Amino acid sequence: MNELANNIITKGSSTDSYFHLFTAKFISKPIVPFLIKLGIHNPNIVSFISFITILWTSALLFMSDQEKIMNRIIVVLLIEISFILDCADGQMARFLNKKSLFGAWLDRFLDRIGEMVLYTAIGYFSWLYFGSLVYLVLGVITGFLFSYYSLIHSHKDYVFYGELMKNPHQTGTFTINTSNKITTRFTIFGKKYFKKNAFIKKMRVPFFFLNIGIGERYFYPIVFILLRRTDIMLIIVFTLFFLRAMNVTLKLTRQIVKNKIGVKL
Amino acid sequence: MKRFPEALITKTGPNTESYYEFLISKYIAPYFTFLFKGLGIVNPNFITFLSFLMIFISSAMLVNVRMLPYVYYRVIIILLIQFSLIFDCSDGQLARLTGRISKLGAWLDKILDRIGEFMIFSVCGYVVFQQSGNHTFLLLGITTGYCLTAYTLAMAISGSCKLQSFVAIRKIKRKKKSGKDHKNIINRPATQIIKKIFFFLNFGIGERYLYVSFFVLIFRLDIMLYISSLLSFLRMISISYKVGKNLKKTDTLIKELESHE
Repeated sequence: MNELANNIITKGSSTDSYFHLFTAKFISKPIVPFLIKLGIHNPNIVSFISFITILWTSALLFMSDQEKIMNRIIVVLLIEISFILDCADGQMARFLNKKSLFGAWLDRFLDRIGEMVLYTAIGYFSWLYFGSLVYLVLGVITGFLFSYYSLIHSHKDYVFYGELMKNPHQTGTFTINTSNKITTRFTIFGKKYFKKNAFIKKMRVPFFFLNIGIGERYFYPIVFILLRRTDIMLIIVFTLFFLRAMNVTLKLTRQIVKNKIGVKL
Repeated sequence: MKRFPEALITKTGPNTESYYEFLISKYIAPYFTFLFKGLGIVNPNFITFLSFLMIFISSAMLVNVRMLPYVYYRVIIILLIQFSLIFDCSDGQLARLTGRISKLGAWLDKILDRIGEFMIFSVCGYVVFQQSGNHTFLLLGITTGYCLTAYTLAMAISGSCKLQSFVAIRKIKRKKKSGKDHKNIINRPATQIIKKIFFFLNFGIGERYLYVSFFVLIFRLDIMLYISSLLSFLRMISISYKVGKNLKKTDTLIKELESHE
């Protein structure tokens, strides 16, 4: 287990979501050797199983009667299992040394689709349950914002990658530290964007639920489906994540305008 | 079309994914580009915002179901959608014409496109839901919007994944340049003709707005939702399959490079 601990959780400390860190540290770590014993040696299969579980759960949410406590507990457990498997696939890839570009892509892509489907299902459920179309709209917009948030981050990389392939020796707007041969580190828009205040870092632990990271997207449904108040959950998640998405959009546009990264013709 | 400089139409050649968009960007959009230049609007991002605003207004007009049976109201919506498509084509051309190509512009153009598409398809679902009272149409509209964002997301994420192993991929590209050029299936004349005939089956950027405007005109949005959800789902699956295949190829090439060193 000590070897496992050293190998597996190297990446988790830099994540922005505290609930994600918690599950990765304490729950999904012991599951990885169990999965390997079962005969699953491919981390892509694990991420696919997690995706199918989230689809199944979102169908179960409005197919089964949520008045009964047992049904709610089943739904919540399935969401949790899907999230644990989602954490476990990266750890498994690091443990078995099966890291690949395809795996990284599949994990992120299936995550986004799963979140979109889950939040639409929650919105649809609360529309049927509380009788207002506003909840469906909120759920759909929240699901779209998750993909939008990931899109603005990765599309920046996408454009940047295209520019790099055109002119690999371009300097000035970015720096490349070639410390490793395969994994290279990029500090694209200066170092300021990645540095975080020490006080905010400390306050993140008690107020982790205010930051809608990867883990909290699953944490909120787990709590509020058990309480049977998905309407409150949708309003909270939408407002918090809308603020975050707008904040990041403004920051990114400001950075791009300031640096004036233009293609040389 | 010899009057227009070729630099305007270099990027959207016949190999573009959407034939309808190609036609518009070749024959209609250059007029507007020169009009903007003549009017003194040099900033292409302003036109991008204008095209987004038009889509926003048209989807807000669609929500008002009571007014939809009137023909003039529907014609206004269609005109707004078509003009937003034309403006969307001409902003890139204006940037190329005035030499104002920027990273912000390319970034803004794609993201505002995605938001606009998502908005208009979900609003179409809402309209049919209001007419018929059937929930499935609303969900079909939402899935169309989701599929369209998901396939761009797949491409964008693949780019950011490739960025992580930039050095290895650069080596591969250098090796490829020295070797033989791989054959491109898209450039064959037969596939081009087939693409032109069956252009409506390819759910590209132009065809999306074409479908919406056509079915708004004949006022049968329910048929559109069936077609668009199916086509966008197929498009998402095919593109993510292609992206995944490409990434697997680079994975094997990187492993070969590692073993050589």
